[in-house]
Amino acid sequence: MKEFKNQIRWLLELIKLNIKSNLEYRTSFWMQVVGMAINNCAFLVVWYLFFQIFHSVNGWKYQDMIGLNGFVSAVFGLCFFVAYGMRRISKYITFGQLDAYLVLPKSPLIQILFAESYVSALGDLLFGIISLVIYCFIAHLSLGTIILLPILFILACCTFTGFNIVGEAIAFWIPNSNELTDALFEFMLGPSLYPNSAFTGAIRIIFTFIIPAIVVGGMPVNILLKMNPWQIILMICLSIFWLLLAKFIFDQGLKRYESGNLTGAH
Amino acid sequence: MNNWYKKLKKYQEIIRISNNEMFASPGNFIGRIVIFCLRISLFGIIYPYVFKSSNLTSINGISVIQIVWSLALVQIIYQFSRKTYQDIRDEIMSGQIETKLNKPYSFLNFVFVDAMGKMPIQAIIYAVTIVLLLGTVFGIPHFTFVQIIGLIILFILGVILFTLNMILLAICAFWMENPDPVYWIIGKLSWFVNGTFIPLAILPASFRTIATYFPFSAPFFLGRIFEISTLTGISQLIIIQLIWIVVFAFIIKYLYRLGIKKVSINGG
Repeated sequence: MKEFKNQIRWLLELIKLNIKSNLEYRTSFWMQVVGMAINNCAFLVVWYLFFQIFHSVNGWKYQDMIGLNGFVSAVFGLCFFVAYGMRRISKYITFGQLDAYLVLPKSPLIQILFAESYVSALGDLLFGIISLVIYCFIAHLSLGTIILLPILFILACCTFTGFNIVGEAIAFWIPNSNELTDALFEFMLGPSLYPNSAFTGAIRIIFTFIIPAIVVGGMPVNILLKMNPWQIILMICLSIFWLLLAKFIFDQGLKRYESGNLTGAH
Repeated sequence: MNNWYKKLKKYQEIIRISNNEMFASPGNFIGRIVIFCLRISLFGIIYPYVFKSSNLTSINGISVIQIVWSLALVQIIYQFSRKTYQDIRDEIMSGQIETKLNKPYSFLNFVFVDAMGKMPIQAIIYAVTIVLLLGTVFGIPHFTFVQIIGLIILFILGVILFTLNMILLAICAFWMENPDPVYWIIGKLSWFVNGTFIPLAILPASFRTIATYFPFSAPFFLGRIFEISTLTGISQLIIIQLIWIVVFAFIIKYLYRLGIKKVSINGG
């Protein structure tokens, strides 16, 4: 228990340090945060125009798109604001820069995850939270459903993080694969922002189990709307699966890692 | 004459290197093609689905096949000069640009030629990808001869203009700590009027008017090929693109001259 508390305290210190270093360029920091929030509003305007023409997509209306965009933005925002290191893994592997993390007494994977923070992701997080608050009102969600929201949010964050680590760890096997890992990331993020009611049959299975795009956005919004316990269980299973898979793939990959003889303090 | 030839040879070499670089990591290149196919496929899933569920066969005379093709054509432009913005921004923000100023070439020409050099091969690859993917799944819509010629010209001018757009946004880094917010906001503003997600043909007329004169939506005119299919209409779009190319080239040249005066050489 004491060890766990120490880990949490250490992680919070890391996050605090990252935020402080980003705040050094205050104007840039706030411009990026506000810029990203405005940037995300564009999605809502696009969907507004879309639903003005088509009204509904298999039962999904514009208000559900506010919930979906809010949920995905908040997941993306929180994960990247506190643990942007997950998007640097392939770069560290390619350039042999993992050495600095391997010699420290904590888990290399955890250290890498929390080594960097992505400033503009705070804009995503704020946008996501505001959108979700608006969604709770316009969709008339019950108190019980609203209480469930943070739990679904954590599960979606776990799946998002797990998938990203797996995608980045490909670099252990395929050298110089930065653009490939970017492509994999977009493979998940892109479909997660679309009304998932349009994905049916085999495509739905792919976007749920192989590329968990629906799990980080559409499924939680569906749960909020219909309170399907099976979907909650599925989300729990998938988030555990992706985290375990990420740890396994990273550890296996680490055995293949070749040092670039680059050491430095992180 | 000899001097000109030497100058051109220099840029020819840049084109050769940038093309080699493109295929240096086949995994990366294939990854980009795959993500391009995914994007188009998403449109191909969503639009036919909503057309079917809304019992529609066309909107404003535009069929669902034309809509998917139009969105795919707009996506092609995004595949070019993607790195131009990032490369210039990073050079300026890191101060590395100082090492480029004393080289026997113009930095602006270098980045422009580097981006343009990749165009022919990439264009062929993406065109084949679109025809194979959409042609197999949805079929190929009817194109008139004027539309085909118009499409080629609008594409070439569109890529040139998009590259100039990227250069202009990137050189904002001379005056800002980080130009990304400007890049995002302009990029997303363009979405509403360039047909990235919803083809202009099915949007209200006011959007189409703004799209015609908004400089950041001009690179994507090829997506309007089903909406504006007459010789006069296409010629008008081509002229607008040409005007913006000249205007952007002048603005970039002027701002770059001002910008490099702000570069401080730290040595080392």
